[in-house]
Amino acid sequence: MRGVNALAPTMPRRSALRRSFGEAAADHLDAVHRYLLMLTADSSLAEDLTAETFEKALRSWRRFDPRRGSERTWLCRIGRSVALDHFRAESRRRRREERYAFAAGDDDAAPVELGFSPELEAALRSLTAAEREVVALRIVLDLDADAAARVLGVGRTACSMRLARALTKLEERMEARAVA
Amino acid sequence: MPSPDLIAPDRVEELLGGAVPEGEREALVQGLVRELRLGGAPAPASLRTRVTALGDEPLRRRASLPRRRLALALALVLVVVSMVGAGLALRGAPSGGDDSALDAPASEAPAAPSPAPEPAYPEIADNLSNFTSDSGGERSALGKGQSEPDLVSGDENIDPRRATDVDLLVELRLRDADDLAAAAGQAMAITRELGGWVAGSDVDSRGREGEAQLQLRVPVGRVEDAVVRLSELGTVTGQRMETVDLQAGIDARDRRLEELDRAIRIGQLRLESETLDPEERLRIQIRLEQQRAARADLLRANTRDRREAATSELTLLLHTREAPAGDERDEGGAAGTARDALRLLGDVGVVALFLAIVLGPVVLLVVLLWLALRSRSRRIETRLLDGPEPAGPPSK
Repeated sequence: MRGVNALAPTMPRRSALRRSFGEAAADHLDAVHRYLLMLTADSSLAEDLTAETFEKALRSWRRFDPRRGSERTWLCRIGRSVALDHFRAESRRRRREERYAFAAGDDDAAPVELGFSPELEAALRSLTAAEREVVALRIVLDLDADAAARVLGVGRTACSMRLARALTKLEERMEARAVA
Repeated sequence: MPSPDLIAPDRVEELLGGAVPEGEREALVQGLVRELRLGGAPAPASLRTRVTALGDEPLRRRASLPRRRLALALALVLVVVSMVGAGLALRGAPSGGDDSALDAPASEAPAAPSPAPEPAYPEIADNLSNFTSDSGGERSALGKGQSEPDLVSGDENIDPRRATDVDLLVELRLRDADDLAAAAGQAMAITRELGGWVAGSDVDSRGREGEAQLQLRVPVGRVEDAVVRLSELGTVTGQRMETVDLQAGIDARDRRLEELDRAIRIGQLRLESETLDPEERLRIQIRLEQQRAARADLLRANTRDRREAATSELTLLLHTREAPAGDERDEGGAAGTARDALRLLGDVGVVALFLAIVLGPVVLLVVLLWLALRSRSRRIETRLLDGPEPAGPPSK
């Protein structure tokens, strides 16, 4: 029995794989911010959500297990959860406001800089948040299909299909702009 | 249903992996991918400072096990404890049968096993001098279903000065009908010898098998002797004792008698005073008659209770049935242990089945609820992200 165990690959201990939160935060801050910026299309909101994400991550850093996924995936999942909580609250607030008055609307706000060419930014803004999200995870953050699917809470196939749709749409919008 | 213009997901994956684009469209997609990978706004300096400051804060250390594991372990312990508890309760519960009392002491007091099998009568004999009696006049029953500590550790020992009605039942197994008939005769003789009498008997000893039921009245002071001697006539297979405290009722009636005596004396004095008018005199005489009648009733009730308490009713059941194999008291060794283990496993199985039946629907309900909540959460999430602006109106 001992012989068999000796041959079995030993899993590294969780603590041995983990580095300090500060290092992880410094490494993945840009990625998480980019992801949330593309998801929300709102720079100040993305900043707030990024900060909240890292606060939440710090509180549960002890529970992070590197054997179950990369730091980036884990942080993106927290970021998504934080963003969805915010959207839910915002949606409720909007419904409440619409009941009593016309929404003031943020239509006058200047377009947000996502950090791409103006044509690509315009095309990105025409996508839905869900489509931008998958583009952010798979392409901007370069997560593999499994990790992105885990963040989105869907299957790998569904994730690939969503990305294909988003890219097709993006390509169509870019082409339409070029023709125009 | 994907649109006909949709680039195949597999092809998209290949393009992401660096495959050579085929056609203008794929080249455009790959160009987009390249631009998206290279671009993207970095986090502003203010945010970086804010997040970096978080990393400098000392973490509050919590000495706690992972919550999920702890909850799982707790649930497991609870299930095991409830199963074992229920199994023990099932084993300790009275079966209602009349032939399984012999193993009661062995199963109820495993911590103090007796070195050799002994007849069961000492328990009843001990109980007679040590049983718990209730003072409220309620009936207390001691028998196979009672645990041993309850039988012997009563705080209130029997007080010979208190009137108590004691009913006993002793069940004996005899070898055959002849032995049964002889034992019935001996039991009657013992009863008469002890100053008691046979209040009723029903002996059936035709053929090899037989049954008998004797209703014996034995003076309270000789009950212990009677139980000891009667138990020697065969193998004890069951025993039961019930006691009713009659003293409380007698005391209450005595107090009422004293009050009545006082009232009667006062009435008599008033009658002798010759200051009463005829109508008043008549009223007092009527009241006196009523009080005397009540006094007589109370005296009769007290006499009846004292007579009841003077003797104990002992029911002796005799039979020739074989005890079930599981009730063999002196069984030991591997076979006995295996049988005990099987019985325990059976009890645990029954409890597990019971828990499965009871908890099954609850678990199913919880799972369905969880699935429903998850599905609802997904729907809300899809609705929230189904527009260019999250949480805004959905895209057209």
